Amino acid sequence: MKIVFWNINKKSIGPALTLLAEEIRPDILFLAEAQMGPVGILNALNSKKTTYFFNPDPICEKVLMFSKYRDEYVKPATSNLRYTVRTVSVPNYPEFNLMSLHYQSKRNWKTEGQAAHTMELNLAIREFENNTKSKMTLLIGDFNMNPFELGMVQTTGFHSVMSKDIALKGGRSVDGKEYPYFYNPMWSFYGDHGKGDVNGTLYSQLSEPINYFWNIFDQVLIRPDLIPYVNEEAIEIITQLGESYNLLKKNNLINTSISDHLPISVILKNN
Amino acid sequence: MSIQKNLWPSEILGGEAPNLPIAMLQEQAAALNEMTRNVLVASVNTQRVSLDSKDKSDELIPGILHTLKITAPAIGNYDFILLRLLQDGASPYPLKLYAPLMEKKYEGIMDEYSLEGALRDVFNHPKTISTIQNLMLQSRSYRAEV
Repeated sequence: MKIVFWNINKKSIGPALTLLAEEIRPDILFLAEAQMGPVGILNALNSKKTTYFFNPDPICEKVLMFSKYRDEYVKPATSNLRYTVRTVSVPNYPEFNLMSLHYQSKRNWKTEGQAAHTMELNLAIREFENNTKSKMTLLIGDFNMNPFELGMVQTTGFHSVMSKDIALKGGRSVDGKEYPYFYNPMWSFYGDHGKGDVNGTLYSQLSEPINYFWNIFDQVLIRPDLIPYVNEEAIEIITQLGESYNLLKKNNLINTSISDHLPISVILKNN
Repeated sequence: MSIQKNLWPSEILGGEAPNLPIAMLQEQAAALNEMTRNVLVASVNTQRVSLDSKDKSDELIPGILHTLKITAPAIGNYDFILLRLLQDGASPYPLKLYAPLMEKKYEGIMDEYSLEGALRDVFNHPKTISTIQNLMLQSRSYRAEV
């Protein structure tokens, strides 16, 4: 099962979405900043073959979900304006919690503010995991933070770690309280020797004293229980839709006329 | 348990396959989905129901009810039932068709040809057309907050 997330930057990118459906063939697709609206997106995704459904969440407006599955297979578990959580129950795959989010932007919130607020997400995640009685959880979205930032790392935030071995220990105790891990495989994309063709999903050239240039704001986080079902090699920052449609410019930077973010994908193995 | 003797005739697995009502409904649901590119989603649900016996006894007999529902995901999953088909027992025909939108009943549908006629009648009814047009228009106007 291929899950793709893409912040499409309020662009009307019908032809790119048609190619995404044809070439990348996600089973589940989350789109953020999808100003095109669900009907425009369905028309693009289904222009060659009617395969995708719009799976609405009445509360979450920041992330739209499209999939090859009817609603009963991807029922909303909980949501707010910025995230949707689905119980994915598809034959031949493990049942799991799937959360997709578009977190507060750095344009509006400082790093410290983002980190402080991740406590709310931590509580929301624990709550839906309690309700579903499952820690088979996958998060995918635009976190608007890099994997190394406080909110992504701190115990009371997403508590994600770069090492699968550490994540597989389950969690750790701090000051007498237990905090479960997420594994964050996106760390592997950093640096010239990192995975893939690029070092991030968003490029910024700000005239400021500190600039990372490449940012990995779009991330996949995996709970230890779900790690065995994730095809780690296939976690990807997508730079090309088919042979001819490049999401990068000739200088290997993101073609922002399509979107300022690159899509990411993760594949779940079947049972 | 090992089976010593099987008394069932092998013919039960054969039989001529008429164009079954459920297959016809599913085909029409798929056709609407294709036409609208899943902007509207038609689905068929089948359930067992209990029907009054025809001989006026108190006994209830089992029937099969197929429901064709149309949903508009972009407008909060608004849905309506376009039609219901009722089989009195295991035989696919005769059937009764109820179309709640136009408050119309079609009784004694004896075969696939009369079912096709009734379906055509329901699909082409002005109330069906205007309902579907309205849902398409409202779906197109939906914009998510970004």
